[in-house]
Amino acid sequence: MRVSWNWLKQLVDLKITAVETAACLTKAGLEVEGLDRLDKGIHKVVTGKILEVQPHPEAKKLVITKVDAGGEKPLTIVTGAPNVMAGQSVAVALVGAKLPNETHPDIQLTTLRGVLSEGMMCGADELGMDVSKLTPEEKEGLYPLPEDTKPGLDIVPFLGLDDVVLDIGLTPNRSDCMGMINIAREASALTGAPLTLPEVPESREGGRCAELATIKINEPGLCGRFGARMVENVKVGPSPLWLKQRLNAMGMRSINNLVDISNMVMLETNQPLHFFDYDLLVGKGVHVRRAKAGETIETLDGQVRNLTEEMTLVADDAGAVAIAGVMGGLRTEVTPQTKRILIEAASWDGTLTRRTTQALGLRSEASMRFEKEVDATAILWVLDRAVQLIESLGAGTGIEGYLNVCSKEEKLPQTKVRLNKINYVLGTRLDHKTVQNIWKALRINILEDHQDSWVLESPSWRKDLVIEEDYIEETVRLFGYDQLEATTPAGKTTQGSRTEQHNLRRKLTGLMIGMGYREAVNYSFINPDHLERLAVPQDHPWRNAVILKNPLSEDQGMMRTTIIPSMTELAVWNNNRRNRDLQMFEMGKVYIANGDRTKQPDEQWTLAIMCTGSQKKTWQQPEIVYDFYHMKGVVETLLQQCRINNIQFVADQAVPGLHPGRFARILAEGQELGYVGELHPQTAALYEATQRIQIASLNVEMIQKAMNPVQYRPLSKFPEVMRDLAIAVRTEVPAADLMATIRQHAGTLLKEIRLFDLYQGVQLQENQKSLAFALTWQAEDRTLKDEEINGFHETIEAKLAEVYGGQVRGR
Amino acid sequence: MREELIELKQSALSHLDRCDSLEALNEFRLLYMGKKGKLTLILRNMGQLSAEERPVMGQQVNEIRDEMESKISQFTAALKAKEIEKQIAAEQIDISLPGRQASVGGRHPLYAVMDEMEEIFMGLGFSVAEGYEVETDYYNFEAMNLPKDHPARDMQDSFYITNEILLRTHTSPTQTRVMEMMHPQLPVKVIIPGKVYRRDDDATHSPMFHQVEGLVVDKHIRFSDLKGILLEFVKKFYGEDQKIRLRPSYFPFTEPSAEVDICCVMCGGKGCRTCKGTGWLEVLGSGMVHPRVLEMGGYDPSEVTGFAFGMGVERLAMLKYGVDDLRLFFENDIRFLRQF
Repeated sequence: MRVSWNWLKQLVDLKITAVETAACLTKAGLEVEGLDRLDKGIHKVVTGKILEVQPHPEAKKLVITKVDAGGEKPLTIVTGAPNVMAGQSVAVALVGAKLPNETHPDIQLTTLRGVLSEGMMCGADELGMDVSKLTPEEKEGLYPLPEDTKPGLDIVPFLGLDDVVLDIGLTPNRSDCMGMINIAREASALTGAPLTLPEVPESREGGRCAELATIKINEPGLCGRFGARMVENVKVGPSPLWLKQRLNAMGMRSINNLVDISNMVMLETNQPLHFFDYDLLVGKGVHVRRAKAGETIETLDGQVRNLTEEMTLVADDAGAVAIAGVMGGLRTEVTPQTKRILIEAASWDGTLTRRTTQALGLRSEASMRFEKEVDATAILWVLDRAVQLIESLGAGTGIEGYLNVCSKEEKLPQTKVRLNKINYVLGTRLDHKTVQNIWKALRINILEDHQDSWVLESPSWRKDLVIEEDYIEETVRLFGYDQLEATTPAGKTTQGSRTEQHNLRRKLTGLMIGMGYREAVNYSFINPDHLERLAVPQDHPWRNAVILKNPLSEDQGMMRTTIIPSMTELAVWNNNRRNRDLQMFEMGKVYIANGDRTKQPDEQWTLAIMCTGSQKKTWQQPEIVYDFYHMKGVVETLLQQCRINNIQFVADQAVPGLHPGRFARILAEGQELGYVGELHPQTAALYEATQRIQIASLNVEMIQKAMNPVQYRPLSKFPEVMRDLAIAVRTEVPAADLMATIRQHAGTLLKEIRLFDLYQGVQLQENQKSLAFALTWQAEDRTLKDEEINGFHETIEAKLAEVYGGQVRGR
Repeated sequence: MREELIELKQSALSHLDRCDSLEALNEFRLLYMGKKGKLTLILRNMGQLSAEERPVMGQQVNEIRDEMESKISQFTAALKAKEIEKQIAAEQIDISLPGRQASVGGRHPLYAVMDEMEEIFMGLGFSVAEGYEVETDYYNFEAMNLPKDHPARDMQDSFYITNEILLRTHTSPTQTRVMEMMHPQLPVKVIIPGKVYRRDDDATHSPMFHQVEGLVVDKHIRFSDLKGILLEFVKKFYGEDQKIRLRPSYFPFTEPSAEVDICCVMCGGKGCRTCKGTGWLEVLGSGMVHPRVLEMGGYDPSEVTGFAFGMGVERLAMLKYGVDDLRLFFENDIRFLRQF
């Protein structure tokens, strides 16, 4: 909401500056987000009258003018403006003048093609005006001033530029402050300055107005109150300068005197008005009804609107003349030919108005006010105010009397407010008198005054005061939030904690960071076309997605059911920026819809891991390629750190998007924890990946279930026995199978099994590989004997030979 | 025999001086003090001496032996020291070569900030609760005193899944869920960190962002307690000298409501571009829990009161690290992430 400081001062007699007022309003919840000085630093610019215009002998496009700028003798000014004419009044920047446009140098004496120019005549933009609010005549060439303007006047007050605009960010509960009078009331309550509201002559009900027109509300819920007055001898024309300036300052453009008056009254009172051309209304007056299905109306902006039965209309006998509270119809628009007008001031239902604006996608200054409801009790005053202004501008004569239809009783809420409750909630020690003064300042009606409580009636314009807490807020708002002490809650001491799963996520995150991985944060939504890129089958669970009804774009069309797209894009995006070597992870959710779209989906916390590229060679260490085994090692470490036993990596059918030959499902005690794999070459091509990308996904809840508690075992006092075992098998035999067989036959005292070498090459047959294991045994109660271990060793060798045809090497 | 002894001593001492290695010293020891060593032999021949001479000679021999022993150990120590010196000289390395660094990753700045906030509030006795991101209209709006058609729903433009299910627009729905779970226990004292979603995407808005919500419900919770807790938080997060300012504001789920500003961290309150010249930065919204919200959480507003607050993590992180573009947090450029 833009608020003209000059206008505000007319409504309330403020003795403080605009800056002080702004601070005051901000402190009370009407946050002033900006102060805009309209003069923008203009200095030494005055009104002037062009006395004569002569062609410039040296330049076709220039003219030499004599201008009376209030000085002893006329100034000679050379200009290239196209619309320069003798007799015209203009703004003249004198020598030494400053203009608001920062690129414009200060005005100096200059010689233009041999003629000395003693100043400059200004266009609207040179005066710092918002040209978007001006008519073509006003914004092109010199800015025209009224013809009879006296020369030599300071242009700043003359154009109303000696004003400051307070830009107030209104909260939805204070829509009353979309009217200047209510801001003035607020300023008065805060500062104690007296209100100086306009005095308006009151009309009476009925009169000649009632003979000419009728009003009917067909359905009571549609409109609380409908008031109307009429004006005859209408003369549509331009508005006076002061009104144009006022509207400009408030951020609106001047149209003509009648439109400007309706806007000004709306800005003043927060009550939107609508003017109908009375003689274009069919039948006697108007009525309020619901639109019929299929009914249309051509609105003032020239668009034909399709209406529904949900929408409220003002109609005459020929059909709709306005969409109630939103926009008027073109058929009964006020034009220069208009002779008589009917002025509507109504209180439209907020919810209905809101639904209509949403359905039509049409929002107006009026609908914004009706959506939050207006002060119906002020309607008659507002009508009289509008007629007063019309008459004072010579735009018409009021017809005696008014119409007033009220479809519901306007009862203001009454609230019991207790002093001790105020002090209890706020932590204050305010006395009865202090609080009572706050009620008075806010013009709250005190219906009953007891020593420890009041019964209060809210001011008609304050729709936000209903319950006791609302009044508690008013108290502290005027008392001052800064006056509150800072205290600590008195109750029981509590111990802060996180949930077990939250702690596990933090542990996993910590481990990932410790292993060199950077945390990323990806959007939870993805483009549904990712599922195609991963070639997800139609019946795959990843298709059970939560689909957004109104995404900003298809890129955010669904909640992700898999982390593969996020991780792939993370890699590709960075690779494309020459960040080639990446180890990254995200702790986030996937969202699996459970068939029933009316229910919330399963939100599954997932640890997503990605690596690509390599750790580059150093003077000491060879390059470590971030390949499948690199990723697998990370997962193994993580799960070991969570004390999960019997982890199995199973070469199962790969999930969509991952490489069928480089994929493993991760199982613990038969439960699936997640998977690890390399991006499918085809998927990689669709993402235009230039590097191999490794991805792992782990379900946090499953990890939590698989975790084992710490189990202490005393340290063995007896020595370990170690044996190496190298065995050659066919290449396709999985290492894990060999290790399982070894474990199975190594007895219960086997402590560790470590694969320390994998060899394929000239020393072996073509389809063979050799794996070398280091085995360690240890007992807790005795020193193991060689014969014992030899026994195990022999059994293992025999079993490996039997099951896999393995040949023990190095024997 | 005495002369023999003196001669022996002199030749031994001069021999000892020539010993320049541990091996030479060993040889020396064998030559004089071994089983067949020269000195040992003299001692062995003592039996030939008279009873008067024997103790005198014995003493002399012992003295010579002690002297030689001590010299040997002196020389040994010196030689050992020399050998270590030699070893050290030979083992010198170029310590300017780069070390073998462990690669360590890092927390995302947003979560680093959230961690810090959680720690501070846990220190103040708050537990950390979490909720759903895909919420029902009831919890997201109605239980927050935002019935359908409430004009303030416009403040939070939502992503809808169905008419009744949407992406939560704030962490507040978890307030009601926590209250329902806790009821009738007191106090309720939680913070709720998490992702939230609004239909906004520009330089200062992200369609997904993070909030940390706080809720305290107990007998006799005051507005001044809210101020006290928030002041405590702000001091811990931004420094002991930090000041706060509460301004009236409006949220449908709190009454009275307050917007909280901190003294601008960029200019210290003098006024700059970041604070638009005001010297203050808006960092969070808060207020006393609206009685309707308490009721819907199962608590009786005539018996308990509460306060709630919510803050945007992105904003706090931007201010803390001086990050000037919100989008950087979600681009995940590793060069950006490595700076934290």
